[in-house]
Amino acid sequence: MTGDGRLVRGRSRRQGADDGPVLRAAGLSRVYGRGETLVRAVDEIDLDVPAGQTLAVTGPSGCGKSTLLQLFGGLDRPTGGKIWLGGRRIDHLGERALAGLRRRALGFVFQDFHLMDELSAAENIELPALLAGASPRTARDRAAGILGRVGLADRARHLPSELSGGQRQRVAIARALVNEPLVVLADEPTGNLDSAATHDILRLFGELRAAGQTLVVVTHDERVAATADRVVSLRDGTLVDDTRLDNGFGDTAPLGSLLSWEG
Amino acid sequence: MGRLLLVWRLAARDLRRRPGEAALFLVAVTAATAALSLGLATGNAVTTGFEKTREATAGPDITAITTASDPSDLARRLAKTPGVAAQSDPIFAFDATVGLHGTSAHTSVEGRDTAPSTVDRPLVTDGSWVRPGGAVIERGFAEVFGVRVGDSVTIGGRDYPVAGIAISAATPVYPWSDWAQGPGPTDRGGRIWLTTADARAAVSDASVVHLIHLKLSDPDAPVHWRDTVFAPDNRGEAWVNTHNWQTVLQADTNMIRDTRPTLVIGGWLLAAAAIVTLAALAAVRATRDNRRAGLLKAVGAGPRTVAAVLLAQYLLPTAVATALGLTAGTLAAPGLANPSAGLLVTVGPPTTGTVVAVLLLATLVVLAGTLGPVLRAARTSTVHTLAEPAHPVTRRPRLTAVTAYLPTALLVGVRLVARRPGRAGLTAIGTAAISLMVAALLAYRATAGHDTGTGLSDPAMAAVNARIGEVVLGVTVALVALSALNAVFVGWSSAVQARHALAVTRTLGATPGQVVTALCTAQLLPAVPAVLAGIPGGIALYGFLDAKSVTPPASWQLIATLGVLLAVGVLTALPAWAHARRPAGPALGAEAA
Repeated sequence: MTGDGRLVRGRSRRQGADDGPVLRAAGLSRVYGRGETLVRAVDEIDLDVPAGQTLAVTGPSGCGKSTLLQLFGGLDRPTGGKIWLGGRRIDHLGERALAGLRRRALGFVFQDFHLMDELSAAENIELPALLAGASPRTARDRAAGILGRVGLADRARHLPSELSGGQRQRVAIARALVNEPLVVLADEPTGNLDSAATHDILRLFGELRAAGQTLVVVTHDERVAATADRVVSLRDGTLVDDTRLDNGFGDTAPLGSLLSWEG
Repeated sequence: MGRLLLVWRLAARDLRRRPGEAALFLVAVTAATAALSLGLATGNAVTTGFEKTREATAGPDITAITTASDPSDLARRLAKTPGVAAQSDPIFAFDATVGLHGTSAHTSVEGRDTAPSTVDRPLVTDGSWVRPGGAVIERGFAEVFGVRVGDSVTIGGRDYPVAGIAISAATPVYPWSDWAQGPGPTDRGGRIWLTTADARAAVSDASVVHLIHLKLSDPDAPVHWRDTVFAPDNRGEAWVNTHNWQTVLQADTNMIRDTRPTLVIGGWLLAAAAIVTLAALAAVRATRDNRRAGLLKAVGAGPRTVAAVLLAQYLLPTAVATALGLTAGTLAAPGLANPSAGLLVTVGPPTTGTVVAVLLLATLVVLAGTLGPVLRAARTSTVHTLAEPAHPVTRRPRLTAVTAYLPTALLVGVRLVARRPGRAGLTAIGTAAISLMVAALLAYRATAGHDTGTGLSDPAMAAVNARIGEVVLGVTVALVALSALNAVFVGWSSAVQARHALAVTRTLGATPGQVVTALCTAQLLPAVPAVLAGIPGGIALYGFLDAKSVTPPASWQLIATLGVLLAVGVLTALPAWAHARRPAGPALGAEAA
């Protein structure tokens, strides 16, 4: 969080055409079961996501959208293919290295929020910062700042159970941003929200996009997909459509700033 | 009827779907009920054995022993004394040292007719009854020295072939069966029967006594008869002593007095361990039970039906486990509670008191472990039951703020404890139970190393002491096994319950090592005070039960403390590590616990 009102800092800004994609998959596969029960959740997908792009992944239920997102986030292991994040291969990393990656380079937003029930909104946001080694004071300051940006400064001490669905999702987005990640991965972020809350979240995503935050959003909701720079569609685990929308995508940022999570 | 069928069907299906959980449940409750029924049955087993032997051998209600050279006068007066229903002829007896297989032992030598006596007819279990030149040895005495029919024993320098082995309830079992020692303190010894002629020939210069075994018209009140009717002025000039059947039974029971408390206390400790197992099991099942309650309510079941269905899942296996435990305890009791081979050992049915106590224990164990979650699921509204997590979490803002200063693993571990304080309590109870028993075992070993368990060095007492040691070891092994199972299960269920929180934490960047350390921290934090209280507690408990107990060396206590904590840590780390090795994504998708 910066003092200029943007939700993200410079390292997540769009990169130049020569810098390569911030997120890349080549021949990516995830297969469950074997023999007659074999399911190809993700089947040989090739995909590049440039820095600063907002990518919407759509498709019917069970087409492999969420699995793809989990593979990008190191929450699941591919059974084939390769993944690069910020130019570094991550598909072969161990759990420990993946944890470091999630701590510093990735932010997650889930349909079910996945907030800690016993922690207040501010404490939920502080948690990733503390895990990343920030001092309690720094974590507290960052959480307070970002809560203000998502419009929940007055809800800092509230438990998730005392917040509406939209407020909970805003807390989850704030938590995803607190360590200034390279990429924010959002899985059906509006799936559990009513229209008004969905509108709030879309407005927040719009601000992220404008600030140059790379964002991958898995969604059923066409309104969400329509706000993206690019929409890819999956069916039976394969990529069947890739559409670029004219939503003003264009600014760039140097790749070097994207690699600051390494080490 | 339909409702009962529904309850039965749902409970049976649940058991069939989760055989592992049902097996764990059975093991925990069976171990606790078996140990308790064993403990309660030991006293009963000695009584049953004594009564069977007394009945089979026409055992006396009271025995008069006199040093009078001519006991006929006492016998005549006894015959005329009111309350005497039958009496044996005076039995010539003396105390001797007998040579058996190269060793020697004290024994009474009794001269008996070859014809059976009216009172005290020893039951020959091997060989035949006395004959001229042949000896019969009391079975417990013979077994300790390895004497068999056909061997020979030496009395007063003469060898007597062993004609038979017999049992009798007239005296206590070996080594308390030598009643021929006359006035003054008595020593331990066995019991040998010869013909009266052979006994008289073998007496040499030993002091002679005569025993007169009596049956009374009121066999339950021999002390009252002795104090009121057979008063000193009715005994004549010579020394006369009496022993009633209750003192014989008491002496037999005393032989195993150290076994019973071990088993009873072990039973209750096992019950505590079983509560931990069941509570952990209920915690793991809570989410499922909660959802099941919600679904039942959604189709019209009331809170009572829901509670009945959920409780039936636990009470049905409890009934089976209680039956198993009672049977196992009752069958094992005679073997463990048999003070000597001198009694007829038979398996008797458990007493009503034992059945009630064991049923009560099993029910308490199950209800203590499961009633809370069941009632919570039954009472919560349908919508909430379907939507909410089964366990409400506890918020502690101050602790959360303080833990922010801790390293990541400790931060997560302490917050896990704060999140589920009930689980920490479970860990503490389980660890305290194992620590108590380990410390009691150490105290027993220290005491046994100091002297023999009963303070006596007879071969018979050594055998009894060894049996007590086996019982203590057996209970400890059972408790250690159940506690180890608990540690693994509680650790695993902690991981299952915390999987959502830990999966979120891992998603936010915690490493598998930090997650494992956090879970170990969450287990060890309550385990440390439990061990620190349990080890001295176990020593104190043993000291309370055995006045001669010796405190184990500090080094033993330290090793035990560290050993228990290491075991808790390792047994938690293994399932936690297995859990943390898997990617975080699937756990995130799993139902929140």
